[in-house]
Amino acid sequence: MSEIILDIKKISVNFNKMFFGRSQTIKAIDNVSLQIFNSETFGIVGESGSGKSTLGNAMIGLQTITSGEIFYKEIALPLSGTKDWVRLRRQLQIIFQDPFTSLNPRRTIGQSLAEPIITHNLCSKNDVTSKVLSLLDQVGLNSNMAERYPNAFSGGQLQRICIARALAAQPQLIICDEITSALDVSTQAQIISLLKDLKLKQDLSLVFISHDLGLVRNIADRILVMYLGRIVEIGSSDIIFSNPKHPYTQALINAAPIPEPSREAARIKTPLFGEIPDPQNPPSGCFFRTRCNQVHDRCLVETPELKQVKQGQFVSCHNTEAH
Amino acid sequence: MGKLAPYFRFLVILWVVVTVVFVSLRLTPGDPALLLLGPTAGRQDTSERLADIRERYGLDRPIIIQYGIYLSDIVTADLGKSNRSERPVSELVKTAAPVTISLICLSMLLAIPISIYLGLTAAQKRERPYDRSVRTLATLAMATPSFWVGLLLVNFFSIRLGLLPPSGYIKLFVDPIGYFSHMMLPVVTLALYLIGTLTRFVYTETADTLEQDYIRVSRAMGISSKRILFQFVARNSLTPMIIIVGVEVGTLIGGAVIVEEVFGLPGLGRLLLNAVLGRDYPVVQGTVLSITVVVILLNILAEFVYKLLNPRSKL
Amino acid sequence: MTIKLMKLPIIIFSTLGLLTLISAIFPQFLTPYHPDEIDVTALLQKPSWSHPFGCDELGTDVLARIIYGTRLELMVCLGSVALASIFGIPCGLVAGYFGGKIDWILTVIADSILSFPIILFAVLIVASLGASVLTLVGVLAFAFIPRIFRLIRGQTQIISSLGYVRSAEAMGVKTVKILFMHILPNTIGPLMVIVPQLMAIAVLIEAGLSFIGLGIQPPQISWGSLLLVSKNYYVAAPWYPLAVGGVTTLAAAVLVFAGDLAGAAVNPLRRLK
Repeated sequence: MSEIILDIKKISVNFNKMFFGRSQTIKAIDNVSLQIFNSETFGIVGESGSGKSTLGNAMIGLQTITSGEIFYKEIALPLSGTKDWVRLRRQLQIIFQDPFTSLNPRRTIGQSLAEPIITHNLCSKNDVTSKVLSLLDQVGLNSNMAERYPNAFSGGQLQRICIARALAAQPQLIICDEITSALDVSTQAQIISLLKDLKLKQDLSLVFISHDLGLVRNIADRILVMYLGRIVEIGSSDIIFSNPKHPYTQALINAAPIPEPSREAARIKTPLFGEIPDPQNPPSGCFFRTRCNQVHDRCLVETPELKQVKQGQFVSCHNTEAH
Repeated sequence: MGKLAPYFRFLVILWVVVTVVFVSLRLTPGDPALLLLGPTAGRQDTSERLADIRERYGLDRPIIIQYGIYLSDIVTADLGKSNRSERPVSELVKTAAPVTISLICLSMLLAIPISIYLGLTAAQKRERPYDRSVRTLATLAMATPSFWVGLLLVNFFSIRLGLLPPSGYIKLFVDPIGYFSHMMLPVVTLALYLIGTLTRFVYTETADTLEQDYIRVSRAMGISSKRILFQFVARNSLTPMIIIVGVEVGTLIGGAVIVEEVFGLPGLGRLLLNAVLGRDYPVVQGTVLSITVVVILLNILAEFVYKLLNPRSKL
Repeated sequence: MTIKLMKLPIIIFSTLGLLTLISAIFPQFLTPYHPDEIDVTALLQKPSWSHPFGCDELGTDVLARIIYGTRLELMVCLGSVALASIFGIPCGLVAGYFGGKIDWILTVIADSILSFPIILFAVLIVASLGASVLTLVGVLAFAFIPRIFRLIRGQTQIISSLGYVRSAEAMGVKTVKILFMHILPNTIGPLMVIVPQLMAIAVLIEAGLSFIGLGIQPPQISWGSLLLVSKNYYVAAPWYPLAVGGVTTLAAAVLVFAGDLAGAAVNPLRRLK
């Protein structure tokens, strides 16, 4: 059995907006619990505003949580600024969406790659250069790129450099926060296959956040579906795609095109109607009820709990019965 | 705190400014009473006057008490008495203020329309000789020491041509023609820097706005250039100008100090300068305070008007 | 940076800069005359080949006085801006990065200083401490600190939200390092715009203050004090004040223009993204 690396227990993240004197609370994450295992790729999907980025940041301690607990390898996350905190930062890395602003434009690639190595004292001064070059090699980039500046590279190359930088600290877990969303389709595929390669070679867990179901299906072992800050469904990748239980998951999968034109044309589409509600004023009971085609009275009043439906598959919907 | 929060900031600023004035006049080493007495310290009744001063300003007591006296004085608008003339400072300020105010207002009246016109038209005719010359002249106007130009103008218009008086001041209601002929050169001198700065500003703002996509769309839809300029562009570019003018009022007052000296106008600037050179501290303190408070109030007004015209800005 | 487009201005500015430096450090290389040299035979002489700007009321070569005056000008300009940067930059970084209370306090202080017209503030300080180069530099620096502070603070706020700063934070890089190695180097652009502007302001304010007797006093030579001394000769020897004022205007204009160019260099880069 794989061990649990990250144990996230009932976390909530609230943002307070100062709005001309009135303060409004937005619940970006509402009572979310999940676990990340060793050497797995964990996918998080949802629309914009579902809270997936916030969850990614909160998981590794970069976003302060309003309530709940997070444990990394059974130890609670340390407070920021302490020595333990710096040590923890080595183990948990994150890569962001925009490759063009993720690297300091005034430093060479080599310097940017060396930064995590130097910060965490991972090797002697003499070895830094060779480490940097080996990192570049790992992500399929030429060693002469180390002397150049970020403005010389394309989005895809920059993202590879960011991956290399995340690997430099030899982390246990890397959060990939929509790292492919700013890239074109063919580059996306390259990045995905690079990640898969790297995972095979190293003992690494990945959390892959995206709004693109197709990509997530390709890379993830387990998937979490979020809606307006809450977990809607969670389970292994195969089961979710073959037998989605939550109406939202069903709609998402239904909406994502299949690369076989004949099958695609034959599908009956049931598009999601309505729009995502205002996060400052979410619907009562089940958040999804305003767009659900299976809604009934209970959904208005009572928030559904996350219940296990099958082995490893959890859904929060009144229409599914727990086992 | 709600909507009033930004204005609370101004209260703090006022307080800091008032305190800075307090502190800076007590920076001088030596007995402050003697300083406040000024150069008349040799007279017969010196020791009595010294005692008077010490009591009035609380110089024997701890600095906190002095500060308290100072603050209460300000709130009651009691700015003390001049050393030299024994007249109350507030009276001196009230007499001198209209001169400075009219100088500044006239300068703004002159500078703002000219700058708007030059800036807008230059931006419209981008990169053509007209534009380049306007921009160069504006930069030169900004860069030149205004009093130097003022003196050159005096030299030319007054002494060589005898057209305008070189100095002095006549009240408007006493003799309007005399008033304007005396004010003309000072106003032009003071306005020069403002024209330079504002023209450059209007130019950059307008040039930026003209490049925006919605302008290109308007042109494509066939709306005439002139209409675009005045309806869309002017509104967008000129609203920030209110803020800039608010900021530049401070610079103008500084310039006014010098211009009044050069042209012999009995305004606040001259009052201040004479007080400094004559070491008349109560007047210095009172004048600086009055001027700064007015500048701050004007800035508050400018910010308020700007927010009114542009409610979505994040000032 | 689009260096090609800027070749000509760079040459011009470098030449002017070099001239200024030589005037300040080795003025004797630029003029055979001494600024205190009295030549009774040449009182208020018109411009000629031997005296390009003519002579003043003591027969001294005007151009020589201007050249020797550059030293104090440079000291005032550079000194005030440098001093202001030493205080303004760290405060701006801290306020922009951390926000919250410290940002509020620093901003209020900065705004207060900004609402003081510089000349008024100078008058106040000179009234207490007397007129000298040091007071002048101090006053100017004090007036410039909030301007630099504001700029750096604004830039820091923008940069702090960018990916590479967040990555550095996520990596555990120490905050001091983040401020000085990631944020500060990326604020150099706008800094290069404001520095010449402030220097131009310094030149003009020095001129103004010295002219009314509150700045650099004669016999010390600065362009402002020269303007004061030449005040009486607008009719008799106009070349004298014209030369001094002309040089001052030129210097300030060149500085403003340098700031404009820096601004143009910074902007197109942003627009590309």
